[in-house]
Amino acid sequence: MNTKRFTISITAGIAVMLLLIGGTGTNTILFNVGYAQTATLGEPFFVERGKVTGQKEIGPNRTQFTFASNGTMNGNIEVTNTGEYVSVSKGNNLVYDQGQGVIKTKDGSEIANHTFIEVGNGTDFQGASAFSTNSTGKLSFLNNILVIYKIDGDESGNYAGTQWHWK
Amino acid sequence: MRVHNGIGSSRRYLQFTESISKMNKKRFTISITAGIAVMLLLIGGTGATTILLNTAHAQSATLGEPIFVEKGADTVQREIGPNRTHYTFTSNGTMNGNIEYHKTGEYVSVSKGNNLTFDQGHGVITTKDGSETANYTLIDVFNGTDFQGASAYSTNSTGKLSFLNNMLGIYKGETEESGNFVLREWHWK
Repeated sequence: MNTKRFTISITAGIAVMLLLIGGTGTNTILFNVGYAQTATLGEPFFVERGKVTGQKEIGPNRTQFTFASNGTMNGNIEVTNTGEYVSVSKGNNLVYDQGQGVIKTKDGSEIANHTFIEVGNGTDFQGASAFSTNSTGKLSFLNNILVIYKIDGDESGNYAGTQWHWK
Repeated sequence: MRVHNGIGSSRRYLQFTESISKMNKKRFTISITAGIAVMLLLIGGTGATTILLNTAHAQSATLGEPIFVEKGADTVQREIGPNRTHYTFTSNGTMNGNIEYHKTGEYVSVSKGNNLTFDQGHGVITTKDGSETANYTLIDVFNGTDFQGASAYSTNSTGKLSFLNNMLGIYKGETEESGNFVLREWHWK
């Protein structure tokens, strides 16, 4: 009888643990509450694929680039993202970039502007964009928010970006 | 004799199977205990646990512990145009839990109405003993009390601050009514 109870308790305990470990994204929150200073970002709100469309040397170790991409925000808002940035070479393939861009809904009815800074090693980049918009529609959530992103690029100038809202 | 021997064999067989059964129970209990111990270690372990648990979520990102924790204040402010104000700031903090540092810098704040601002500027971080420095540029957004931002660092340091070279930090903070602010910053990898 006691052995049975023990086995049932153990099985229930394991089941709860497996559910916690193998469950949904909310686990991240559950497991992080113990770390007062740990921050969690959750799921990205924007994914995009794009290409560097132009580049021009504008000074020693300084190059101006233009870019264009297509992406999806919040899972269902199709947008384009175009802009330009100045890239400062730091040697050893390291770069610091600063620029601005415009997000536009596919139908062209709404726009949001963003200013960004990023660092990279030639193919991988980490950055942050500050958004601003007068939109009262689908893109209104972008007004005065900061997003952080990662970009994976290749040597041909193609890239894939993933962005998270930094709250 | 045969019968007697048969009963003896059956008893021995029963004793043998009981002993095997006990052994299996023991093994089962040990396996369960080991399994629970591993799970508890995973759940209750260090910050690395977060990474382990998040590997199943391909697009989730976790930042771990902040690298900077600091307190500071804006020191001077000056209107420089319509909806544009220039600020200087200074702060003191602790990096990676044990390296004390000092930051100074300046930024231009652009008012967007409704207490919202966009800020862009730059600063210098210096170790408490003054031996190492790193420069950074920053952008952030502010809603009157809370702000979120990012800093891109650059340094020639080969010492304690060397890890800051070409690193992006992301921060969040809040201001008090006195104008002082508290801020925490994470390495965005």
